[in-house]
Amino acid sequence: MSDNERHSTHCCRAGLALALVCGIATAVGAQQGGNPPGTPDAEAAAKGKVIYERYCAVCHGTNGTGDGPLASELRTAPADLTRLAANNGGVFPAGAVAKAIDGRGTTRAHGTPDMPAWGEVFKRTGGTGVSDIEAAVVRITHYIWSIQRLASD
Amino acid sequence: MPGAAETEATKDLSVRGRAAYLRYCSSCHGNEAHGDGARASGLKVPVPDLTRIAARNGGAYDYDGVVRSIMKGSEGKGHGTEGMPAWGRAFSGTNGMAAMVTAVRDLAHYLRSVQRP
Repeated sequence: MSDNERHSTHCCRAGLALALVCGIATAVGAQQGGNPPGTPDAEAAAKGKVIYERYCAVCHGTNGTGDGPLASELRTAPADLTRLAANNGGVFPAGAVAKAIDGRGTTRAHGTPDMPAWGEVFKRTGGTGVSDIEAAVVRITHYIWSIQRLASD
Repeated sequence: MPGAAETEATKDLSVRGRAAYLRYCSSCHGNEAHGDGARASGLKVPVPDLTRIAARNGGAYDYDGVVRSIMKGSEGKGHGTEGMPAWGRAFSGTNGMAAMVTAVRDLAHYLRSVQRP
């Protein structure tokens, strides 16, 4: 492969990754449907809960507070997912959450010792009950959105 | 008990866990998890019957405890290399963290499905 070809492949991949992340952020917003702005979609959240229980709960805990059975075995403590809005000035950072779950197109494209790039995993194995990775990530994001606690809780 | 309930989301995981069990665990714990695998008699430490985990705990299957046991093994408990390996490290070393998370999860779901009084 020439340097030019390599460069163009690289750019193409980077562009694809960017499009993917933007697509996820848009999809998270779009799925709100008739909900008031800034609230999670109940149907997406219910479906996301199923995927969450399969893939996330073992580290982040059934309640999302970061206390799953594997939590104590990890070098980096899993995040308390119920405080993401509280820690972000009261606004749930949906796009960033979706991007973090997916993990592809970021510096941790293949996952890190902290958290796997679940987009990669879903691509390889299925098992989320939806045919495309983005839909799975969006549903998980809505579920996590639905379990946010106030800073005062 | 967190994570203990079998739900719609997790009902097929015991099937996946059975495959992982046969691959990684059965040589010591036996095909049916009774602690009678081919290698069990050669070990200095007793190999537990994994179908009695709940029975030994007053009937309650401690999913979280099982996850941690698989993850940690018993090497830290003074059995030297004779104890159960820390499978979490083994799984993550081979196929990364996602493989570790899913394998440990699947195994703990499978073992719940084989509990007997």
